[in-house]
Amino acid sequence: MAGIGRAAKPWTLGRGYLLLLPLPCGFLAVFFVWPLLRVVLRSVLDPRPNFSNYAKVLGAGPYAHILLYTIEIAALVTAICLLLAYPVAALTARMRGGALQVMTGLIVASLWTSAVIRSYAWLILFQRYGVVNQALIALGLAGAPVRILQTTTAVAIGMVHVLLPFMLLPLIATMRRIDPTLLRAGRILGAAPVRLFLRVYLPLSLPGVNAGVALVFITSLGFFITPSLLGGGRTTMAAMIIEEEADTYLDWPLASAIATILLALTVVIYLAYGRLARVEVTRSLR
Amino acid sequence: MTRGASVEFAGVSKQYGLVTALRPTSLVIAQGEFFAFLGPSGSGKSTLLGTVAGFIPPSEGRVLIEGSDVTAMPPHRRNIGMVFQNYALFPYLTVAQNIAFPLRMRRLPRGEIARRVDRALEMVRLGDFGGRMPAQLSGGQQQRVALARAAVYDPPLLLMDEPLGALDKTLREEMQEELRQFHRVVGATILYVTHDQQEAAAMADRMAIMNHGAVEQAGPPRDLYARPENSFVARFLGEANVLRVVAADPVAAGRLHLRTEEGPALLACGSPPAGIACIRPEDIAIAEAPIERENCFRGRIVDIVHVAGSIRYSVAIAANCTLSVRVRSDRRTAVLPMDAAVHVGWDAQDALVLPS
Amino acid sequence: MMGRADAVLGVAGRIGAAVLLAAFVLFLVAPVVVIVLMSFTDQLYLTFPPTRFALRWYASAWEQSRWLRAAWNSIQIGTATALASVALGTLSALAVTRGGRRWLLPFGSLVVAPMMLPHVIIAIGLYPTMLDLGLSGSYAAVVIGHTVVATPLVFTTVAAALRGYDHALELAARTLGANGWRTFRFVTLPMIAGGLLIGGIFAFAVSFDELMLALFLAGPRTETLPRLLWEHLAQSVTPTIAAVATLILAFTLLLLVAAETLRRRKAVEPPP
Repeated sequence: MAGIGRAAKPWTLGRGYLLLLPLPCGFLAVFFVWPLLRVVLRSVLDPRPNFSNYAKVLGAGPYAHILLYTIEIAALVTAICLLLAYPVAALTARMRGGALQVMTGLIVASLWTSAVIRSYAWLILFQRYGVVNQALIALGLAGAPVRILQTTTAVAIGMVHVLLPFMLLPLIATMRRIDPTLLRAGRILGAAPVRLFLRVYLPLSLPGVNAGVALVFITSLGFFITPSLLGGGRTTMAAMIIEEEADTYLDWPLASAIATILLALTVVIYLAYGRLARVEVTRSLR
Repeated sequence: MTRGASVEFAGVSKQYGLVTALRPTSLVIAQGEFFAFLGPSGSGKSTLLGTVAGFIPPSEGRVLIEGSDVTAMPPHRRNIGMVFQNYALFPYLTVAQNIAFPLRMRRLPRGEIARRVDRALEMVRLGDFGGRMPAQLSGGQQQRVALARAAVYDPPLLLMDEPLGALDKTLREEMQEELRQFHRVVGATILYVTHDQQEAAAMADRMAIMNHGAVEQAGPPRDLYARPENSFVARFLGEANVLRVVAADPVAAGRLHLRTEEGPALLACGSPPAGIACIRPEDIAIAEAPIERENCFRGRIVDIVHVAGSIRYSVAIAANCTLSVRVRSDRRTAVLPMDAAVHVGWDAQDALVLPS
Repeated sequence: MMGRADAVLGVAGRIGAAVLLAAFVLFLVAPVVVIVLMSFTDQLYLTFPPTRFALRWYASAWEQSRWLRAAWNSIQIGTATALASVALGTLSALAVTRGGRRWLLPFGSLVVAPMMLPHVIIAIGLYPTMLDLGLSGSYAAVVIGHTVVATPLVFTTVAAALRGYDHALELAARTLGANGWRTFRFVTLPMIAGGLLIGGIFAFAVSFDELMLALFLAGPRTETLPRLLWEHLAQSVTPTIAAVATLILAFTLLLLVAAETLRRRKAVEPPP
């Protein structure tokens, strides 16, 4: 006998609720699982059942480079987001009343603002005679207009702008749960601020950091709009090349192979993050 | 007054994969009985109640209400009233609308619904509260609304799942009285689940003690207390000093000489197999002088607890054997001092011999 | 307002904190403000700051029937997406939170998965599927695509609403004589109405802003606002775009305020 007894109330109307499943299950199967499967299958079966598409992606040519660049820029954007968001979130988490509402309102509004529009805004700001260049010249930081568009810098700034809310929201949520009496207790016990931060605040905020980092990194990997507008022509990310191979060159097998790699990357990080977050939660409970 | 329905469990069991929540259980509850299921959490009492309500399909066996098999019947057709632990009042409906809910589901005419709701409100003494929202009521009042809602359609069977669990102690005792009153007035059969032995004993005509997914013993509270069939029942109802028996020698008809793991050897009434001996704290006498009983031991008082109406001494009579002794007390009772050398004693018939 | 921060931070720290917050807010808001201001220029090209205030680019957007048709398409597709996502998200959330089976948890992850995946992968998978079904370029194709990515939001808000109250309410309704449907209608639905509405608004907003699926699945007749915006951006950067962008911003903000008001009301007072 494996064991006896269960949680206090095992009451359900389970069987009735299971009857609701066929519709969403069918929808997901036809319009989500099958299409994804189709991408994966096409990458190995088309035009011939072998790995030639992957050989093409990973061999000479621009594709492997683009994939690496995509990971690099995703990592860069994630790092900048974390460095920027951490202090801002820590300050926001301490706020109360109106100030807190204004800050969260701004962040949420920013999250809901169209990525196309926000990237378009940066496109205008970064133009040869745009606001940023005017400012640089006025401040004497540049003698003549600098080329900002089509650089990694422009892409990174635009992506950080779009993705900051994804880092801020989990951070603020976690930091607001940190018990301020812990910090005060630490002060009373004589811990120096730096030690207090490293030993108490940082470990307690780690679940939020993990969630934010995973969210931003995964979302960055699939970015299309911002790098197209701000880096177009010179800097190419994975989603852009997939769209281009499929839409312009009609090389669907190749697009499928790149998409499959991107899919695998996303899923692996997602699963790893899930495990990581659980570890963090159990550790913080100890 | 409603005629209560009989309930029969015929070999009902429940498995979740490899986990057994309820072992095959057979039990008959008579019409109009107030029957309590008593046990620790995870003992299977909620599972058993769930099979009557229709929230748990049994893995095996059948549930019969008034002789007809309801095992496969959905909950809404069983015509059962149920009171939940946290009352489960609909927060967006007024008290009157809550009570009207089962009548609306039964598509009764408007006038009839209003009349019955008023009558139910009167019955639970909440006549003026019909227009309130549940959140505006105290715990005890919410409890009474839940009761009125479960009884307004005169179901012959009422299920109650720890209905007093969320109330504080005084209110709980008041509500016990009220529930018994309610049972007398309504006449329905009541199946009552609780983990509070005092509550069950105070209200139930009969009760079943449950443990590890099975009924250990069923019967009137008084019988279960006086004649427990095993150590779990003995320990769960009231207090019991339990000594583990290592050897039992018959000395006369129906009398055993027991040697125990804890040390003391004693005389007891009973017959083999003897696994344990139980002595109720109130059956043990205590005095400074030796006591004229069949079993008498010298010991030392190691703890004293005053409870309403009685004093409980812990008396160490051997290295790893401490007995609990309860004596009735009033203002004039002399209290023995801590660390006092005392004698404790009881007769052979006060010790229950149980198989395990 | 900053209460405890003072004690920990000190004077220099407080000034630093204020500068940091100001810089952050500027970074977050400035680009959007610039677009809004530029949309009111009277010049032929984008200038900042605008020299004179004018509404000519709004008029120009209004006169181009393509913008209007795209906007109307977006609203129609967004509404259909919201309805479909609410239906599918609610069904899944009910099954996962109330079904009482362990294997339902991975199913929940599957429902949420489209939110985490790059849209381009879903798009290149859905495109041939729509071709097979003869739906390519139709409203249905775009609505289905958008429903795939919007359902997770409805699922999470509705599942949160369902976990937010005691499941015994539904059990009670059943014992009181309500069948499955009436239990949903008279108990579950009133309890989750707020979450449902908020989820619907989110789903609309997702559809209204979605580009990649629209690029692959929409046709000339069914082109959405983001898609038309994208097309124009690829060609030229005229102030008309700034005007359209400002209108879209205003509309999105309105939706957000509606959702937030609903959420607040739900949090403050118990449902009527």
